Amino acid sequence: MSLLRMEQVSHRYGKRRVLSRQAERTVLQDVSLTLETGMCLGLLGKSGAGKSTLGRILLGLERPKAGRVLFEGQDIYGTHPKDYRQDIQVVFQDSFAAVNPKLTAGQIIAEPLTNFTRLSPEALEQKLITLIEQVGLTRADLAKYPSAFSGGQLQRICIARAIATNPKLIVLDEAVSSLDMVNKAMILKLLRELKETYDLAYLFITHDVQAAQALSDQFMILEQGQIVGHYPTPQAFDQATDPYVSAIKDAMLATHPRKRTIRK
Amino acid sequence: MNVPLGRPRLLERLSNQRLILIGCSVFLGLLFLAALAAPWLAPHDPFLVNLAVKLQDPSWTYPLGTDHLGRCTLSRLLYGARVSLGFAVLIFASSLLIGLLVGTLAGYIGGWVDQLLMRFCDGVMAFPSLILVLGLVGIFGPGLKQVIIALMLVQWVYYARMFRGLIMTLKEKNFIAAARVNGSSHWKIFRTHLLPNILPPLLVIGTLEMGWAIMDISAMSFLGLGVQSPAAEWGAMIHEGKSYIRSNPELMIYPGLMIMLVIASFNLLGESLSERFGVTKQTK
Repeated sequence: MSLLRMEQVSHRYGKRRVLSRQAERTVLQDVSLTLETGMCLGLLGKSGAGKSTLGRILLGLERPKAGRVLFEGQDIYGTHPKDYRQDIQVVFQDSFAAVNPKLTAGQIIAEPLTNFTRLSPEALEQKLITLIEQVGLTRADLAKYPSAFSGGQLQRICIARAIATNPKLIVLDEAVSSLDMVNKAMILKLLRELKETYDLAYLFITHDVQAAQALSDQFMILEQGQIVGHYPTPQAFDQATDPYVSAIKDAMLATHPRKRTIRK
Repeated sequence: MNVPLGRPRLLERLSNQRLILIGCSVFLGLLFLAALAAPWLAPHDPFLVNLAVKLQDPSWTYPLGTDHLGRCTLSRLLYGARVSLGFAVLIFASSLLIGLLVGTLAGYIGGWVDQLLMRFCDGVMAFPSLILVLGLVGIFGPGLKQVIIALMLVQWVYYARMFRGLIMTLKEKNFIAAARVNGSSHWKIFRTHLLPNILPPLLVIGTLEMGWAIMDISAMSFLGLGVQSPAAEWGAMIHEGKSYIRSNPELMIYPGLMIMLVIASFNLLGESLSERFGVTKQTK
């Protein structure tokens, strides 16, 4: 049994109003994918391709118009929707918008713990210290408010919140896209370590090919709501020649400045 | 042109936000205390009719004189503060609660619930609020209770509209999505994520609205629809004093001055709070 299966998921947006009927826009069309334990699937695509919507559907935040999402064989939009919450977590792109400015780092990380576990105040504090040190911050940071952190540090807090309840799958929705090169490399390293420690599965949603390659075992290309390419190994992705992949690869800069050419 | 001319020192100091904040808070605080302590502070029984001393000028026994029935004006002003401030707080709090409830439901749930509630609000807002209150009081009949219910029924829609907007902007933030992924209940999301983030605008709008509530009650009482005599209330006192506008204008001036000062204080306080919290005042 796969950890997570998406079967023929389709989704449309569009407000149906009483008087004016707005045209609906198809965002996802018959998307199917499978994630196994401990595997990272890189989901690549241009902006507007439907990547984030796919993530929201997978997180149980947006019921798809058609298709099923099975987590460990159970439909997450079925009758008992809360069972999977503890096992699927998320890290968003904009870490400043992903944390409540009125809560301290400790309160932010404690939220999933208070929802899913019954820890004594001392055990909770101990767990918070373990978590914040695991993502490379100090216990003194627990008492600080989001405004005291940089984007990279906040992203670490978001990661600590995501791993707090030992999930099986984390959706990384452009999780490193708004970070600078140094922070990006450090966060990717942290994510790789956590993946090995906890045998985590990632759905790595990104438009950044280099970041995807640094973390992913499999690759999928999403184009206008449809899966247009699936590469089960990094090698297959490297050698891929179809137009979607080369378009995305073309968009990235060569590592060495001399190899960069101006494209028309 | 912003040329310092030496004179505008006073204006400059008036626009000092801290000073306004402190000054208005102290004034309103003292007034609330005076209203609470009215039975001990008032020199006379505000309802005691004594025609022998009617329309007297200020004296040591009657610091602000007496009205046409010989009642002590100062005592009536103090007791009037209880009615005006007390019921303004009541109207404000109850319409705020209803508005918060409806606005949060509409903004958070969205969809047809939002459509239904907001179309209803649009319907109420289509009429000038005072006209609508007058109409409702006409249906219910005059009386303080009826006026308060009518004001409540009309005022909450403005709060609902405002809270809906605030909640809708917040709902789009990813920390709400993260909270749902973290297994927080809707109630917990409201309590820990939505409410603390709408508190500053709530405080600002609340202060500004208090002035309106006082104005509304006084206006209704002045029209003879709210507080009925012999009860003391500022609007009602202006109403009673208007027959003596030529001989004893102070009967209208004192309560009028009180209404003006209180409303001005609430508005200034609201403005300086909004500057402090960076909340833009929404047009009604």
